[in-house]
Amino acid sequence: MSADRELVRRILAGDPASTRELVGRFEHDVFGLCVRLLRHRHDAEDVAQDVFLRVFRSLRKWDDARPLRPWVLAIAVNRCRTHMSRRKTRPDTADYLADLPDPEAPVADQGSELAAGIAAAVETLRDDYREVFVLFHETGQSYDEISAVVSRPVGTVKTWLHRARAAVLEHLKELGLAPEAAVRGDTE
Amino acid sequence: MTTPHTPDDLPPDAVPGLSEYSAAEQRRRFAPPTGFADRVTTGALRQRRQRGLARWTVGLSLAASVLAAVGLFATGAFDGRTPEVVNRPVPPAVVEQPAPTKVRDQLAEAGAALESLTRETTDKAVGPTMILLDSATRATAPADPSPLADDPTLALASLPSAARSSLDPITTTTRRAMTRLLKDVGLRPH
Repeated sequence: MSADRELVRRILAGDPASTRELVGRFEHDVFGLCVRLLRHRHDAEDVAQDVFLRVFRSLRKWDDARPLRPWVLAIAVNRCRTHMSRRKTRPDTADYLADLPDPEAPVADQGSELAAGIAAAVETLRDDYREVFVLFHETGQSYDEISAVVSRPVGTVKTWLHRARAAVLEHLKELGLAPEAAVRGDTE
Repeated sequence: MTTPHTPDDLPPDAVPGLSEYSAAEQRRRFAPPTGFADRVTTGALRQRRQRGLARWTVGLSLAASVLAAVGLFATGAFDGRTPEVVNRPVPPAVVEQPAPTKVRDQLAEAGAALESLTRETTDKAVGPTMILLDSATRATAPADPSPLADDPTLALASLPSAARSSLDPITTTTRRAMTRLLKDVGLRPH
């Protein structure tokens, strides 16, 4: 926490090296989250750049009593949300990440039929469910961190995550990849 | 790496392959493109310079405005009085209204018009008759008129009293009617 505070203080004082340090500290998290949520590398690059510009523009509003990382990721999630809503109203023919083989993907990810089924199911989730699913299962955030990122109570995060899992399970069942007995809980 | 905590009612194990999927995804790294951090840093520094320049511009504009106002006060451009209102409301143009016409004048005017119209109509109707009457009077007038012709009442006066009294209502009425006619056509003064 004190390291974040000190870094922000130096950035606000106009230190270019500290600006570069903040970008280097969070660029993988921000870019990775944007890629996972947008499923498009070029869009993710544009949005991630916009995220950092907004971070530096709003840095004086950051509450130094809270950690910096969830605050930065919250801005990233908001920008991705905005981009996705624009993309829905302005569909393009760009190649999406799901359509292209990812050279950085693990071998097990490419070869697993179950993993492919889960990835396809995640695409069908509504935006808020998909956000918490990606943050929890793909980036490994805790409930508290996700709660801070999506600005929702922990209970809401748990509920959304539960419903997201149920929807994924339902999708796998439809594909014949999950036994009927495995379906528990409610779905939407 | 954070260990996920899941709700009790639907743990990740309930979804086949989810644990493996999560583990694989969390190992997966999406590296940003080469030079991404440098581009972002350059953009952020440029943005900061532009915002600072904009703040300076606004500040200088405000300071110049304040200095200009102070200078005007110091040179006595304002004498402390409220400046005269330039955009004074223009009074509406006064339109000269004609004086209201009195009813008496209107009646007089209407009467004059009616009189002239009546006179014109009467002249048109009576004019030819007057010409004929005038020529007939001259044609039938004797060169030496007898007293009987001049005054019919003299002839009547020569009649016996019994006959005169019997004719008197007729002659009087006729005379009055004739006198009235002559007055109307203007041959006899009122």
